[in-house]
Amino acid sequence: MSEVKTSGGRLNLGLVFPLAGILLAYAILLMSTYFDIVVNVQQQNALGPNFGNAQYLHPYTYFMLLAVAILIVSSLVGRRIAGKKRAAEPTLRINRNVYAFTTITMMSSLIAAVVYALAIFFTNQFSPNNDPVLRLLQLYVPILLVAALLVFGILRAFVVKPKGDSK
Amino acid sequence: MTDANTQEKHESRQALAFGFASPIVGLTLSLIIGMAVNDLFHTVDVWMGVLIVALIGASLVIGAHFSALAQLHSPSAKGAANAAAVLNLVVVSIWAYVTLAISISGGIMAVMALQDWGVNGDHMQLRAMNSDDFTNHLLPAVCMHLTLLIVTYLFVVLRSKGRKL
Repeated sequence: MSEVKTSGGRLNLGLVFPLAGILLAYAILLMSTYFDIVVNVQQQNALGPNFGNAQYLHPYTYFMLLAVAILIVSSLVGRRIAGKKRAAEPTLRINRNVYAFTTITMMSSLIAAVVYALAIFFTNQFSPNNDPVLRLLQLYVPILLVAALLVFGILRAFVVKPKGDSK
Repeated sequence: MTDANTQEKHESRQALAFGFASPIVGLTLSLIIGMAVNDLFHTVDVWMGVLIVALIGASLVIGAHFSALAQLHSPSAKGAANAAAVLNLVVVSIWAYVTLAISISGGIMAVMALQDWGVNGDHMQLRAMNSDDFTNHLLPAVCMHLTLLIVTYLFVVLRSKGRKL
């Protein structure tokens, strides 16, 4: 019975890539929190009493963007691998389940990207900032980059299919 | 032939029973352990939380394995075996999102605890991570996250032994 065939003792890369992406994104999230505290302390020491009203580029802005990018890319890679395996052996249930899992991680990553964009917008749009370069780096560039990431992710995952992937 | 059929039916019924019971027993056991520890020691240590998460995860992996075995022996695509598989899937989905939220918030809080506000609370400082920060704040969060990833992998693989397509 072909449906009882297991992975043959090797790790299923269609599963490993999205899960590794989640682990890496988690590590980057913790690192971004730490580096944000480091920068905050440095700015406070440098600015003294003017620290409360100071505007500066926070590291988490681009660290979080990197984490979202890793989530999307790792899900895409896992989805590609799972799609090829499903096309090669469509009767195996594991191939279908892994492909469905990568679809879920892909959609969750895209939702995380949207949440990031909204968070960046609401955090920086209404804050008083007279420096145009800082506003560019804090608000416009991250939103442009995350929009590009979203379009890339959606197109690669759901529009541009690998050969043999009919779904 | 009749004995083999009877044996197969018995195994199928047994697998179905474990498939249904495992998540429920796991959830109940972890709830009771948590309540007992709280009643006895008036506190629930963070590592007890990790144990509870791991216990529920293990019960879901076992449930996935047995519900997939039950589906393998089931004569139809719908029925009790499918219901057991769906039960495990729903519970693991909720468990996964809750564990993810706890591990992320726990990890961030562990890092933010390094931010010290001084005696008067007006000057921000960054202190070094000590062993208590690492073992009682950061490591439990990381362990929960790793448990989530391992259980997710095993769950998807083990539940794939089910019905042929």
